[in-house]
Amino acid sequence: MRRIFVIAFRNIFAHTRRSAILGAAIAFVTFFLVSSFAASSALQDSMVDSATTLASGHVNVGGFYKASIGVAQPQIVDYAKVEAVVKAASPHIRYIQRRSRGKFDRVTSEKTSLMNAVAGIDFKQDQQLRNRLVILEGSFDALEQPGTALVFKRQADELGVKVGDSITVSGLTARGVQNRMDAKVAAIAKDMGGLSQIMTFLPEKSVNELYEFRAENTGVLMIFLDDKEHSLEVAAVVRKALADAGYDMMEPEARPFWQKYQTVEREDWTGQKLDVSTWRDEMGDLAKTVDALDGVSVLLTLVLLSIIAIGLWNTLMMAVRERTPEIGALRAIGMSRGKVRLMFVAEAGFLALMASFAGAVLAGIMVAILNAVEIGVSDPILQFILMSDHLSFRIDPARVLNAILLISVFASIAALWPAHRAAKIQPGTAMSHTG
Amino acid sequence: MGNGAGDAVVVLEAVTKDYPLGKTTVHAVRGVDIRLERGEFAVLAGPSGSGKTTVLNLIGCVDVATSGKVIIAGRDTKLLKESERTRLRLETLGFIFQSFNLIPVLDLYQNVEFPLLLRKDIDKAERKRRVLELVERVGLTGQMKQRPGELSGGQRQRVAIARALVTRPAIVLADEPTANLDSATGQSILELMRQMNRDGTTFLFSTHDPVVMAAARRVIRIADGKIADQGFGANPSAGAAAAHAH
Repeated sequence: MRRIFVIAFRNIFAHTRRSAILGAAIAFVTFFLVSSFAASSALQDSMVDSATTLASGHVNVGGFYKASIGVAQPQIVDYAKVEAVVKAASPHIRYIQRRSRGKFDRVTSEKTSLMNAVAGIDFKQDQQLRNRLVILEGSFDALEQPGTALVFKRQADELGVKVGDSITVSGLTARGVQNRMDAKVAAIAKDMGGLSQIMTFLPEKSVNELYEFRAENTGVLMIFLDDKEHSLEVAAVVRKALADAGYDMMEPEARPFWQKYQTVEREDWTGQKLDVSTWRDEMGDLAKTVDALDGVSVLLTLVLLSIIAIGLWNTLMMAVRERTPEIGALRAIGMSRGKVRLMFVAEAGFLALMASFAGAVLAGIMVAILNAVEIGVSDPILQFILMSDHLSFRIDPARVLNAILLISVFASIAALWPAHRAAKIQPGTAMSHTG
Repeated sequence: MGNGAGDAVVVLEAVTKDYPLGKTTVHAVRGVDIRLERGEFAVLAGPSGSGKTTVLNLIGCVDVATSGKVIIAGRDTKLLKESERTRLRLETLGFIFQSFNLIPVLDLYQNVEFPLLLRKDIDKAERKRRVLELVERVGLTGQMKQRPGELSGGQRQRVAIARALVTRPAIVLADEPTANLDSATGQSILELMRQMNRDGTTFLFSTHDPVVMAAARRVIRIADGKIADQGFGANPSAGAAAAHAH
């Protein structure tokens, strides 16, 4: 069997021009696939990073409290009890961060006003925020004082404020009262993609005052895990644990919490309902966009692979014709049809494996160069989509391996028919035809 | 040995082979009877289109007769499945082709060894022993690592002979083995095969080369798909083992 593989392998190098053309085409497809995967992996990273810093844990326990049918507040009543149930639910939970959730409300400066999502943070305790945010002006410590605010660079520029300047934040309470609060800008942070353009952070106590939230309530329990890949699994476990503990639960829905307001307000229940979501749910359509980009990449790759499969098929059929006497001789000396078939499939498989590996290496080199150059993105819409202010790529070894395997298997499948034709060659074709 | 073959390696009884050609049928072989004893050095001779390659294909289990019996080493080839015929070729027959048909990407040693690798009953040490012995006998020990493309025509045919003999077949079928060689090289190849024949291997050639015919002990002449003559050739020294049998 080993010698058959040796023949298949050496045949690749025995027909250098043919192999080089096919190999280059396969390498190009791999290059394209790995590069696009690298872009989407980086986009996913940015999205997770941005989401889990600004708006979400890997898993979230949020929900709504309705004092009357038409008015919903993003509140967990008596969060300490809920937190106790959550903590015991899964060993994957690393820590839980509490935040107050406001609505989309107006943030006003002397220059202009913006509609932003307002969140209340315990700046002293919020490790995620402290670890991930880059403060350009001011400090985290200053944010521990009530009546302060953290804004992001682009917002600061739009509002025309610096550290020490005042902004006014409006908030609609459950009673329908429009409250206003002055806050001093205590820190300006570096932008973190699209989400940071629509978020303003205030100390938790200030948000509670603005919206008239009670101190024993909170907006969301953000759960951080040992690995974000466990998000779905932990969300299911937490949902069940809370239901078992007697809490009314909302149906799982892949939308950010602020998109659920209208639905919840229309529903005819009052009291508390908890909602368990993952970071992907909170990213809503952006997560779907990344999936769609991956889908388009795979689709385009399949189209390119189909073209290559036709080329491979054609080339191998030519090889079968050229090597008919050789194959006939092999059949005559006792090589089975199965082994002839295997020889051709292996030849295509080896070529694809080597070429796709080369393509992946080239993509890796290109990604390294592009990451080193750090190409900036100034367009806000593009920043919003990319969740970053520069282009970034990340090679995920598992996805590269999948790409190489996918292409090699595809090439081997494309070789099946020519291999079958080769296996059908009669041993008599090795004989002269003069008699 | 069954099927009435006695001590014969090859028995053809009233064999016919027809090929359809459009709406007509070509009768390539018409009622051929041949019997080859162990150790013979025989030639199938005839002009182009006479049917000698068809007969060689039938004996080589490469093709199946339309009617009649083809018995190789006691086995009726018509009763065998495709996989069984492949196995019979591997274990009982050796092939030498006009165009050598070596595997271009393998070196000399690997080409000779290849048929043994297709068998599961021969271990590595035995394979090596047989290959080295045969390569030495065909006089190519110094070219062991060379590929077919680096060898002359005569050397390639020697490799083909070694490959054909390495499985120790009951019969070696040689299809125009000297046709692509100059006369001096052809002579040396013939001499080599005669040496092998003296050790008891049966050889059957398909040829219309008078030199090969002269070297054979028995010349089976075919014309229009029929046996014209099964008489012995001019070289009584050829086919020593067969002479003993007769």
